[in-house]
Parts: sequence; C-alpha cells; structure tokens
Amino acid sequence: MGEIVRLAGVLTLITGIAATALSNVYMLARDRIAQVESAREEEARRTALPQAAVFSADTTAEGFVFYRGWADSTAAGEPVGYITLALGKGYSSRVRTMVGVDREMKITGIKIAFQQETPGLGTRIEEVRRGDKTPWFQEQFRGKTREYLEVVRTADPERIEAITGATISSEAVTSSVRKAVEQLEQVIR
Amino acid sequence: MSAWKIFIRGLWEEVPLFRLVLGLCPALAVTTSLINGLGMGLATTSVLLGSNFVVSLVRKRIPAKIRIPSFIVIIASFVTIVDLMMHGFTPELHRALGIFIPLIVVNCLILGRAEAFASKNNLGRSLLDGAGMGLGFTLALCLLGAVREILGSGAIGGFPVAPESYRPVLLFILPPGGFIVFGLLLAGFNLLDSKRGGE
Repeated sequence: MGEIVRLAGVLTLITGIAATALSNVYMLARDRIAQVESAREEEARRTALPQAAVFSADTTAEGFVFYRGWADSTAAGEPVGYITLALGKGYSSRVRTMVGVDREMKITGIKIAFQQETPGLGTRIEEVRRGDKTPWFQEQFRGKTREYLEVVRTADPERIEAITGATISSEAVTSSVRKAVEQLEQVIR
Repeated sequence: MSAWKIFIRGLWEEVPLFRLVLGLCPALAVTTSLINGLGMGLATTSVLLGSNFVVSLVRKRIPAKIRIPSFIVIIASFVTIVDLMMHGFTPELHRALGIFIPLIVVNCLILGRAEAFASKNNLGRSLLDGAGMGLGFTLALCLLGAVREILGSGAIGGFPVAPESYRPVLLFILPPGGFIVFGLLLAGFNLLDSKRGGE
C-alpha cells in the first residue's frame, strides 16, 4: 500500500512538472502560432480575391458564411467580389478551399486552406511546378465560371485537368468549388 | 566504450532503421520525398536528444516499476514542444509532416534509447548516443526518401532529375513502395555487412 502511494506520488510529480513546462512553452509559442495562422488565412483570402483590400464576414440565415471584398479600405459601394470556404471530401481528408468570385461569378482565384491527402499524390493539389510561382492545379480555376468546373483527364484549358493518380482529390476540390460558387450565386442574387 | 564509439555507432553499426530496425512506422509513412525524410529525421533527433537528456538526468530518482510511464511522459512532453515550435516557426514543414509529428511519441527508437541507454548512462554519454542515433535515423530517412522520390516522382528535393521520357512509378510514393524500397535497402545493408566480414 505504502509503495503504491509512493509510486503514484512520483508519477504525479513527473506529470505535474511536464504540465508546467508545457504550459510555459505554449505561452511562448501561442502568439507566434496565431500569427502564422492568421497570416495564412489572410494570404488565402488575398489569393482567392486579389482585387480586394478589405473583407467583411457575413452569415446567411441558413448559416452559410461568406465574405464581401472591397477594393479600398472605405468599403463603400458595391463589393468587387465574394469569398467563401468550400468543403470537399477527398481521399483521406476533408479538403478546405478558399474560393473567390467577382461580381460576374467568375472565379478570381482559389487557395487550398487545409488538406491531408496522400503524400506525393493527393497533396499535389498544392504542387508548385519548378519555375512557377503558383500551384498549377489551383491556377486552372482562375477566370472560369461554374459550368466549366469539370475534371477531365487530358490537358484542356477550358476545363480542370486532373492530377495523375489523384482523381479523387482533384474531384473533391473541383466539385466543392462548384458547389461553393452555386451557394454564393444564390446568396448574392 | 569511448565517446566517439558511442556517437558513431548510431551512424553505421547500429543505425536505427537498418540495423536495430526501430522506428519503422514514421519512417515508411513520411519518406515520400527527401525533404520530408529530412524534416522528420531532425524532429525525431531533437526529441531524442531532449528525452535522453532528461531521462539520464533523473535516472537514479525514478523507481524501476514506473520507469516506462515516466519515460513516455517525458517523451510526449518533448514531442509537444517540438510540435508547437514547428507550428510557430517552420509552418511549411509543420504542414507537410502534419499528423506524423504527434506520432513521434510512439516511435520505438526514442523509448528504446531511453530504456536501453539513457537510463543507465551519464549525461554526456546519453547526449552522444542521442545525437548519433538521431543522425543515423535522419540519414536513413533521407536515403529512403531520396530513393522513393527519384523512382516515384522522378525528382530529388523537388528538382526533376529524371529524363523527360521517364514515367514515375507512383507505387513508390505509396505505402507498398515504401516497404519494397525499405526491404531492398535492408538487404543491401546486410550484404555490405557480410562482405565486411560481419556476423
């Protein structure tokens, strides 16, 4: 009995020290992590709707969240475009994509915000080819309206070319973006 | 055992992946490219150094009966620290390695070194052991990652190296390819060893 108490005491002490150390490290890293995450989100918005300088969030009665983007910081008049987060079921994760459209419902850009697809295959939805600055797969969406968001297996500038060996991931992004644009259309009209 | 011997043995004689065959799960899961192998290797090395350091420091105070749970708590703490730090300071790498960072906790290599070495040796020797084993593990992951990336994507470190006509064999970046490459490398190591007049 005495030994059990002693062992439990030692373990409690160890976990207590570990918890104290971890909370200190967390305090140190917390701001930095928040900064990284908000910078990432900001960058995603900027990629999705490059024309806009300021954004304001809005939620419909059905719970659909979207942003309006304005070209200047006064946020006056008509927004230059809209942004929302598209959710698609990929091969091994739920892929989240920031989607931007202009007033004509043409895609101004998309940016994958989160994915955990198969390394080397599905993760290529974020691949940047050598010599390029932007990921080629996501770049294909720019300037298209939703009728043209269709995955094809061959190179076709009018449609979305699938990633070899990762059709499910390609399809997840494309169909979720198409749905997001549809939802935006309904909200804005 | 001399200090140099403790260090160098992790790099060849007892290289974790190929000789001790420890730490396989993360090894096969992340080594789809050279850079992922390197990142995982270095993350594991820092956890290993931290855990060997602390385990060696407290080795005389921890009752034998609860040494394993104690080691696990120590290891898990260092993994969490590495995870938080990578999230804040190397966000891109953190994103690429994602779910595999928390899994360093269950990497047998780290618990193995704590149990087999750090709990029986002084601070300096334990740190050397951690450094040697960590670097050996990192090099092995890099080798595995490089081979799989060349065969599976026709590139190395993201730069295309294969001729245009080469069609990358996707199998090699998928898990079965990981096993195949690992098996072949393991066979290669054994062959080298027997040539050198080992066991």
